[in-house]
Amino acid sequence: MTDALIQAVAYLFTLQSLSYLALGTGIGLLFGAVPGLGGTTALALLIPLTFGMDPDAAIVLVGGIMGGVPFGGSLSAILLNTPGAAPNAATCFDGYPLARQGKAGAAIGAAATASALGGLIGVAFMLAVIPIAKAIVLLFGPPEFFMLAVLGLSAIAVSTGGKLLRGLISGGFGLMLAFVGFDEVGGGLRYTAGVEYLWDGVQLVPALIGLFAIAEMIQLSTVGGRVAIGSSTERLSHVFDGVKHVFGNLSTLLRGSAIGAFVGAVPGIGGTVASFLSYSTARQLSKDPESFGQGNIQGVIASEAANNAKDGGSLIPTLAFGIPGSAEMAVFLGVLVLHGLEPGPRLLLDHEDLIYGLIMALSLACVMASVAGLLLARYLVLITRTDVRYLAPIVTSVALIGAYALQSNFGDVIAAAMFGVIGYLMVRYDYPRITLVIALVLGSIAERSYHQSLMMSDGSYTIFFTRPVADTLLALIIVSLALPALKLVTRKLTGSGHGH
Amino acid sequence: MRRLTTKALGAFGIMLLSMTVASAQFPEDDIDVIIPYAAGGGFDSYVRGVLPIMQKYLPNDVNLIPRNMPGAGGRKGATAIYRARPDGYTIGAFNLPGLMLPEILGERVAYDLTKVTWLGRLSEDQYLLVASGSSGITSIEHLRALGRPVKFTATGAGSSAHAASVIAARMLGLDASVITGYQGSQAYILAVVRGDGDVALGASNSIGSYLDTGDLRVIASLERESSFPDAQTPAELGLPDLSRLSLQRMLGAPPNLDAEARAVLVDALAQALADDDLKSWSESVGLPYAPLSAEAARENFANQRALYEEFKDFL
Repeated sequence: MTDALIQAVAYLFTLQSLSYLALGTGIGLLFGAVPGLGGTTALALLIPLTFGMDPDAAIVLVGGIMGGVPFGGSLSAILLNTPGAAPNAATCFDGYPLARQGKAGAAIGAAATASALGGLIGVAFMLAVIPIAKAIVLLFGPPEFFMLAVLGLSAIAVSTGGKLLRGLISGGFGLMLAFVGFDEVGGGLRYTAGVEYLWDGVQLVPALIGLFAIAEMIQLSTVGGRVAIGSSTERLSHVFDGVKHVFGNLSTLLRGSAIGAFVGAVPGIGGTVASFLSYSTARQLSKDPESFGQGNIQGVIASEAANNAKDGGSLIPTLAFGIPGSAEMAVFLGVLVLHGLEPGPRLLLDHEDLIYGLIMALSLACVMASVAGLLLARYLVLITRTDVRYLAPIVTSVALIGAYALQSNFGDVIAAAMFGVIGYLMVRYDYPRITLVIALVLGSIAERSYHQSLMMSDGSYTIFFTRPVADTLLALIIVSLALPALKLVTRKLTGSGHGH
Repeated sequence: MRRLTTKALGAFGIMLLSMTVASAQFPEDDIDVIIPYAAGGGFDSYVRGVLPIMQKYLPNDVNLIPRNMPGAGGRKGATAIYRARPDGYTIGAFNLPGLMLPEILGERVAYDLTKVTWLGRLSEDQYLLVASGSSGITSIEHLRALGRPVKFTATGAGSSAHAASVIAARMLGLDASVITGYQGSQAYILAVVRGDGDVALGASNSIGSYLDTGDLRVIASLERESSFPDAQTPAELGLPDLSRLSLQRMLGAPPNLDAEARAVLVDALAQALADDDLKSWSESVGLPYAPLSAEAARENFANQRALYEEFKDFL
């Protein structure tokens, strides 16, 4: 192991691989920041290019991209309330309010630091867990997936920003949308109205582009002005305040990273759940939960630490079993196969040097991306000071092009535009958009694993209660739902009330 | 007379010349190759692997440009190939039986595979019936003696793996149910290792590493020539039809493809599939090709269609 590790480090610090790494990180940052584009698109576009490269170089390039994408996505989440990718959505909650208060620099500083550290913790988790990876992956069958999805859904209740009923309504709407399309289990089409585009269901990325990027631009255009409404004379030097905040909130960082790495390692759940769970946990454990959503920097730290830590985690099922944890990982598997690397338990033994090369590249890229972000922060912040009359047309066009670039499918553009209107109406009438997104992501996972569980047990519900991991997750669900109520009761009993 | 002969010969010569010019004309431009699945999948890799080699054998230095068009379980891409102008500048890849099953099961699709111009077959993954190494199941007899329905795992309802599981179970006389909805072949194979179901049909390249570790055991081979000496074969089981179940990737073009374009494309594909560079690449990455000529691919399609038609009431 140490030999392979040293070899990987030696290879990584050559001029050639450092340039590939920088190139990958740059591409990752850019593709991450543009809503709609993302790691999946970047990797898919690069597949033909890596064809002629040797595997080491291809792996370094891919590692750079995977390391750069998550932080790139947090930039647009903070500056424009537009997550670059779904896992960045939780960063919007507090990152954007900070930007509106003129504290975008601090938010970027915190996101960059949390991203880099989270990424490194994720990789460390992966290295620690690889020897027992098989046991972990085998523990998660359909009943466990179902419980995990429900746990994610229960985060809706705490992500509503105090508007529980409205949150549940939009969550319910998201669940309805999640069931559109071909039913993989039963084999029928549902609610597609004869539209072929809907066969694959409501696509997450165009929905996100619409709900956030386009809706936000419509909303801003109706009021005019600029994103930052704080005093425009404020200096932009708060970046390092953000860095310091991360070290002042180490428990949030560590918890977020652990949640990210763990959820990432469970195939098929993905980064969105990781960052939401981390965010909602930080909120629930906070002494001052009401400040979340109003620009609490802990929200940014929790979300971004988890978002970067998940990559290390999700390499476990991808490499060890060839089961992609996300769309991005699915394309990554293609890169591996094209270079003759068969994913599976033997990959880790036969190509140890390549795997360590990837891990090192991923770690270094996380750090590189964050440093680049810190250096560029003062210029990026200018976006929030740009007049909406110029900002809105540019962001809207880029967002719609991003929607098209995803699969070269015009249906995605139409979907993004429709979600833009829905998103604007939700903002206008004060319905939380994020609960819709959580439900859209988790609805189909919950449904599929529920049916699969019952097929496994010949229709007996006991399967959900007789497996230790499922039981543990069920306990967590109960705790996460009961905790806010308990807090309320204790507060009333003690009569402190925190001045509400 | 002599002048006339000269003239006639000259005219004949010009005619010949113009004919060769005409036949050298296709392709004048790059050719789009539609892949109805996402970039990076197994299907994508097979097609992208053969294109650069096939390109070498096309006249006029044109390019074969892969275009991924995923959507609606491959229906979107298949429809795009089917509806393209039959001038040879749009061809594409088809998954059998995956793209044939919707038609057979009575779904209205916008393409008709019986009219597609087949250019040849790229690959065929034959199935192995596997059970978890710790399950104690070692033979078909074991499965019959379970005293309860045998649980298969597979991808979505109506997929190739689902259909193959149902048909194999019927041929073997097993009372079976299929747990559907797994996202890809690796996922449903892992589901057997984990114990979600009893058995699954997997291609040898998706199960290889689990056999080495003892997580999976091959209890029967559905291959024509078994790569596992210990496993029961279709011939030994007295069920040669079992080996007709497989997962195939074919190249095809729109119906009524221009004859000249067809000749050029079929020839280039045949040469590519016999090329040593392709063979060595295919071995190095572990993606085995199983070439069939255009004519044989057409017969193969008819044979596959007949098989799934026969069992359509059980699917």
